[in-house]
Amino acid sequence: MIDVIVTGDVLKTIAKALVALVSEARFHFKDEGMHSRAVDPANVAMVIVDVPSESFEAYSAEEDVIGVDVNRIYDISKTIKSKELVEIKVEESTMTIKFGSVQYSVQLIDPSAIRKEPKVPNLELPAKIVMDAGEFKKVIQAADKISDHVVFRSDDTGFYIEAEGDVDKIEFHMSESELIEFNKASARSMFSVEYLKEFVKIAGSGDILTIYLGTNYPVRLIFDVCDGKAKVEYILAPRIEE
Amino acid sequence: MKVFSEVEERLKDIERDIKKCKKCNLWKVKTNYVPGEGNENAEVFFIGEAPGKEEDKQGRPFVGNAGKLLNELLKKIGLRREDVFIGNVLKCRPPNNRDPKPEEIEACSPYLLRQLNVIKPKVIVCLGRHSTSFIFDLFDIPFRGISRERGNVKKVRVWNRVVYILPTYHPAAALYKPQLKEDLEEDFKKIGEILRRKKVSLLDFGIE
Repeated sequence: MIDVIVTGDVLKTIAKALVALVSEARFHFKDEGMHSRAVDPANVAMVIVDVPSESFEAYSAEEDVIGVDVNRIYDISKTIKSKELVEIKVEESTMTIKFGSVQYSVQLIDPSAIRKEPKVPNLELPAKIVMDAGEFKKVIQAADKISDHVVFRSDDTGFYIEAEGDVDKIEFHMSESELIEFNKASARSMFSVEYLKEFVKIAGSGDILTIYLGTNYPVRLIFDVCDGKAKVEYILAPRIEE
Repeated sequence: MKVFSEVEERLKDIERDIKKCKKCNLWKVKTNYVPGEGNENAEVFFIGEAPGKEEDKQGRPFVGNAGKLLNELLKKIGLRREDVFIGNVLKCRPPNNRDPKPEEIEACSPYLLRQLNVIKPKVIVCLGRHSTSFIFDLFDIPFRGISRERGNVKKVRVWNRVVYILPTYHPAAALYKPQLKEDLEEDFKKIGEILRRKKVSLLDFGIE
């Protein structure tokens, strides 16, 4: 039996984070909180969602794994206000989502019918950049207007995001003093904007983003969202220039 | 005995159909049909307008002076003629190299479409305004004239993936106006850039 209460923003964020890559996911409920991870059908990106039990207004959950139609949850979550309290109950094969005077009953999916979850990899990525997630979101949205790929680059002068279109060019630069944390390591990789623009949808101004970057290697983007109540990590494979 | 792949067989079928075509009046004035030629696994498909004098004589596309320039441009981006596929919107030479008539394009273009559907290239390079306007029309892209469109890569979804369309000048245009050669070189560089871009999956890094 699972019976938890959470604010609307957390549920919205979890659903939005997952629908960026998949339509179905397994949710693991444990004493320490809720966890989910999935990889997109093209194996280009992975999402890892964690909501610690302290982030719930109330948390009573036996250790369990449920299969969730995240598109459905995402649709429902759109009607919930951010500060509204949502009660999520799981009994047998049904999840009930209750907020205000509305109660949705959603049929669960057999977790074994959902694609095998990825292992969380141990990546050695030299550069660490911590910055405002809202700022990152703005650059990605601007880059999307002119190109389908961006280059993330870091060296001792700062962190750069570069996009080049047919005629336009965008260069974003933040020096060490403008970043929240920066280790000045050198790294450079190119990524698809198609994916990044989906990832940044969960980010708001004031949220913190930690980037771990390597050279021609996957990037880790860790978003601390909903006032630190939830952590969403994306791992995205690079595009390689031969 | 040479064994042909399925794609080669399908291209040969199209070629056979072209060589007996009488859908418009150009077959009466041509010397040879020019079906097009190249690599059946080509990632790049070049589309010209129609055969010229030399092409008509030899039955092969881009073998005259414009062809020499095309070969040179390909070489600069590390490609050879054998790596790409080269065809024209019209498979027969219009008399005195006049512009193709709309009814000729309508009659002949299904052959080109069949070739594209067999090769399924990653990049379609339109050489000149006639092939650009034909391809743009096919994908509902508004065409504003070749000098405005050249070098602007368009992305379309076809064959279940993204295909890039690159309009540029016809190499013959650069023979008359040498200053266009630089533009052509610049546009050809984009072909190289598109081909070099490679999407990688997490599996390539041992993540599963």
